[in-house]
Amino acid sequence: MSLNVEARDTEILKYFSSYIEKEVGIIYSDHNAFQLRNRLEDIAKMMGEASIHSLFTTAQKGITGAFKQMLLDVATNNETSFFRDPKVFRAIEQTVLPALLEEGGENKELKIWSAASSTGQEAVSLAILLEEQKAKVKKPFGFRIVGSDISERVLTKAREGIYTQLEVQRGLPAALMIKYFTKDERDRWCVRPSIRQKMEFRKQNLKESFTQIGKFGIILCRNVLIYQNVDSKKEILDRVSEQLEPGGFLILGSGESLIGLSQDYHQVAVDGAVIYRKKQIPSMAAA
Amino acid sequence: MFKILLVDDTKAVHAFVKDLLKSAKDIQFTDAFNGAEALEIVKRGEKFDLVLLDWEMPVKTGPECLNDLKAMGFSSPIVMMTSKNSPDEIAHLLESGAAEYMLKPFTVDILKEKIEYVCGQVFPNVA
Repeated sequence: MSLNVEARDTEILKYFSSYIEKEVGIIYSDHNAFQLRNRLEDIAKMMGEASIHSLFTTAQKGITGAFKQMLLDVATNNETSFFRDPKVFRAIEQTVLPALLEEGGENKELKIWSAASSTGQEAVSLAILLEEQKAKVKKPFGFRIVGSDISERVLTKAREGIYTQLEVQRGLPAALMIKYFTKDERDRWCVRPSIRQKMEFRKQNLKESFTQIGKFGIILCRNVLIYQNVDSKKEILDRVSEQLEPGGFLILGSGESLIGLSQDYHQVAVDGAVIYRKKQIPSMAAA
Repeated sequence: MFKILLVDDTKAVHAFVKDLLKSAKDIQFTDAFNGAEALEIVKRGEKFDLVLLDWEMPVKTGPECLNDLKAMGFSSPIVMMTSKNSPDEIAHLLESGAAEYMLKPFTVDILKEKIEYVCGQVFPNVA
């Protein structure tokens, strides 16, 4: 590659990474520039452009419609599986759920938000876990799960609730697979209506207002903030906190922490999961 | 040492599974090529932490072997490897005592997750 072409490629990658950061806050740095380049090449193919160079020329006329959606879709395309990080689900079963049920009366309706829900595996896993627990705990309860993502592509798949054999094999025990899914004529596994009707999936940019999405007792925001800079993290967390009921639980990814970001929570001691509980009266210092 | 009894009539499957787990330390495989061979090995008194069991095999099939192992009181987890994936067949295997089921071909992630799930055994060295 000549120096001129290399400089031109760098300029193109910078242009698109700035655009993605501005739109959704996801940062592409030098070490994952190759990943952005691969994804831009895929978009160029889908749009019938010869290269990322001609895609760049098109982008300068305006990134709108399907082009914008594709760009945001690939930027937010993260791998997911059912019961990803099983310790988190164990902690919900053994710590979070008993604490929330202890406080409410009978038939309490738990509301849970799976933020950046991707293709829905986290939300489905939660629904399965809660459905299983309903048969085990003494206090009857109900639940609603809201999944949100910015990508229309993943929202469509999450709403359909249809997964390939390979996808259902990732993290999902066979006994739960046959209990909560049916197989269609194309050998795909479909989430049963009994739990699908307890979930809804909404388009939500984490950089935009959450006031329409409602209030929740549990918010899962795993491996989402790692892509944001410190100021964005604080800003998003403040708004996430607004949607969490006092005494509610915020669940982050295994490598994440609220240290230096919020004083509205105390950490819950659980093995292998990062779980915070919102204080009943948020700290004035953080207000 | 984590001991796996690997039962499949296709040599390539033995090679494939061993290759998937090659970076895991302290695993010892014992090979059997049909259900009858597997039963003979277990009857000799060898202990295993896990059995990976194919479904369709000559002499004695996987489900037959599963039934016989369970009738003998064999208590280590048995994971079925198969190309069948009807919910009824999977349900029947689980009711017969299989701990888990994997559709062939599976990936290292699936194999690792299934082993972790049935044995509580984590293989941090598996890439």
